[in-house]
Amino acid sequence: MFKVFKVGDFLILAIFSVILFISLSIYLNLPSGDILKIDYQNQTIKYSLNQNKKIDLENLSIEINMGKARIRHSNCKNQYCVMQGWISHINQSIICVPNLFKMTISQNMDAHDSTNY
Amino acid sequence: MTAQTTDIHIIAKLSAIAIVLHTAEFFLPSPIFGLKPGIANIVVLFTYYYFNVRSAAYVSLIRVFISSLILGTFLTPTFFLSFSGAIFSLGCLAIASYCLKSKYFSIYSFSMIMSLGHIVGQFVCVRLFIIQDNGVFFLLPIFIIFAFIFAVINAYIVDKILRVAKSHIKNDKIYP
Amino acid sequence: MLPRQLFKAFFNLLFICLLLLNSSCTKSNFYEKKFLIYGTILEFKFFQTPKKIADEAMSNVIAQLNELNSIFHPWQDSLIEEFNNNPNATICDEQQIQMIKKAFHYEKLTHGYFNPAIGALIKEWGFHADEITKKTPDYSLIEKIVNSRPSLNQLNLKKGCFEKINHYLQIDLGGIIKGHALDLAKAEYQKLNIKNVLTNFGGNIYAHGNPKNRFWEVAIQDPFDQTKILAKLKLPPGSAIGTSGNYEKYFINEGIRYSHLINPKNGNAFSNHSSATVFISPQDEVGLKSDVFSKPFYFSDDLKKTQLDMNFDYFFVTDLNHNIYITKSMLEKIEWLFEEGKYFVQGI
Repeated sequence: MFKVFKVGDFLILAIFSVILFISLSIYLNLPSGDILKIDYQNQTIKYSLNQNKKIDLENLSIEINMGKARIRHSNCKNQYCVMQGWISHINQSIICVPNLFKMTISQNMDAHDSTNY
Repeated sequence: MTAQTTDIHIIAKLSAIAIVLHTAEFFLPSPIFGLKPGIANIVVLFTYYYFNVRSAAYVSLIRVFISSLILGTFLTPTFFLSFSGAIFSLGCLAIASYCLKSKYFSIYSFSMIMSLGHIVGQFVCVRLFIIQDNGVFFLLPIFIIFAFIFAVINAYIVDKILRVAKSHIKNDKIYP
Repeated sequence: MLPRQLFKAFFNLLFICLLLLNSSCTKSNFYEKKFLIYGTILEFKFFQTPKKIADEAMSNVIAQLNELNSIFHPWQDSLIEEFNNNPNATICDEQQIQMIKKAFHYEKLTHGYFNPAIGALIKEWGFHADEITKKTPDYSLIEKIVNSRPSLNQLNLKKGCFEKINHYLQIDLGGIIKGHALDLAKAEYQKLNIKNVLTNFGGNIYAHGNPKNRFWEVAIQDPFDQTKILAKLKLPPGSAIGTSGNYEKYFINEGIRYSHLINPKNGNAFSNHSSATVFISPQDEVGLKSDVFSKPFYFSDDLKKTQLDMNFDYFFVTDLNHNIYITKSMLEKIEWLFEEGKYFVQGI
């Protein structure tokens, strides 16, 4: 296998790695969010992530557990959305295409670092 | 039979193999929606080395259309995903074959470029037509990692096949 | 064809890159810590600061605060407490004299609205205690104290020692110590070369540096509801914010809220305003100013006049009837977050 490698391959590999590192560093530096936005049946509902809650919708049930969220059950065929597990970072989302369902984590617009009193 | 018809026969056979591989791959379980090894790309890459970009494009597009008909996903999002992936990956391959000299770039480079093109094509398609949200790009690193792994594995397989093919055909032109 | 060593070297390089990336990621985290010091919350929020240095800074600041408290605590066993209760006592320590001189400087600057010499009044209202108990003061005594016009001016510097001329004079630096603590923290950060940290001591906030790509953002509490937010403000690096409010330490007697902020002009623990918030742009003694400058506006009956007297622009005041009086320059900085119609905002 190593004999086949040529000079240019390392160049391609390097470019590949750079793209990977950039996307990874963006991915790893994501701040955690505090709002779960659910788009379902032409409605947008927002939930706070700082709670323990189970939400039952028509075809799916969602669970929020202290800063992270997941789809617990879904009646879709492939169960991809359930397999995605927990999400907690800003802009992470779980999509269930058969149910036309999307949930995204975002940051509260009122977020602040400290409170003056 | 003329040389040209022989070529067409081979392309048809390769397309058939690609369709079979694509269909088989469809039934493989995957942890994330759309994450697949892309074993049909082995055939496309082989065709590129055996013939040229044009033949590879035939094989790739025939594969996408026919296997989507077989699987019943024709004109569904799944079809458009694999179609845009195939188009981008072929585009990348064409550019690479034009720009990169095989003296310096081996099959691994081409495989990686193709798989990266495939991923980019699929993400562009997803972002434009299916999920209109920038959130999808946060799945990109995972896909790039797997694209890299499968690209290397596929290239290794194609390399082996081409070596066997070379010894059978006794044609030095097809593979260095 | 390349030798295998080069291939290995390349992957080693990649591995090192990955490690570097990893370490740079862990560094970018915020590091927050809260302490309870003499009934006041001290809160730090560090950005991209090594944990060890942050811990060192925090323990240094707390040690200095403990020292300050042992000297200036107005009702627990301290040097100032002794000085207040003994008419013949003197203050001779150079550091304490400097601190008192500093307080006197701000007394002059605020035209006596901030008065560190009215410990006797605060004591008479019953706020010199850990637990606030409802207490009606002896109004004749209050009148006597007010008429004696206590001021740090009435301290005589004799042979390097302060002695008091007015025996009603009692020093209470409670109105300056929070701000002073922020300045101590600022000096500490500069000493340890800490770049980005937000310090909140009892509601007064000092922003040191800023997190990546943004400013520190602070919320201002609603004076009528502690669970709600009145507004939001971005603090540029080196600036501070402070609020004086009647909701912090108070008791209610016959429907009137008596707060621990006592008007030195008339000795009354009552104001027409529920809170006054000031924003201090980056300058020297930014913490002290954030603590002191809110007081004149809290007590003032004529905000325009006080504004001109103080030559200070960044403030807003809420009164007891949900009106907000705000200066033009402050209005540009602030983002209101109260419920629609709860407050009525007007210019000064």
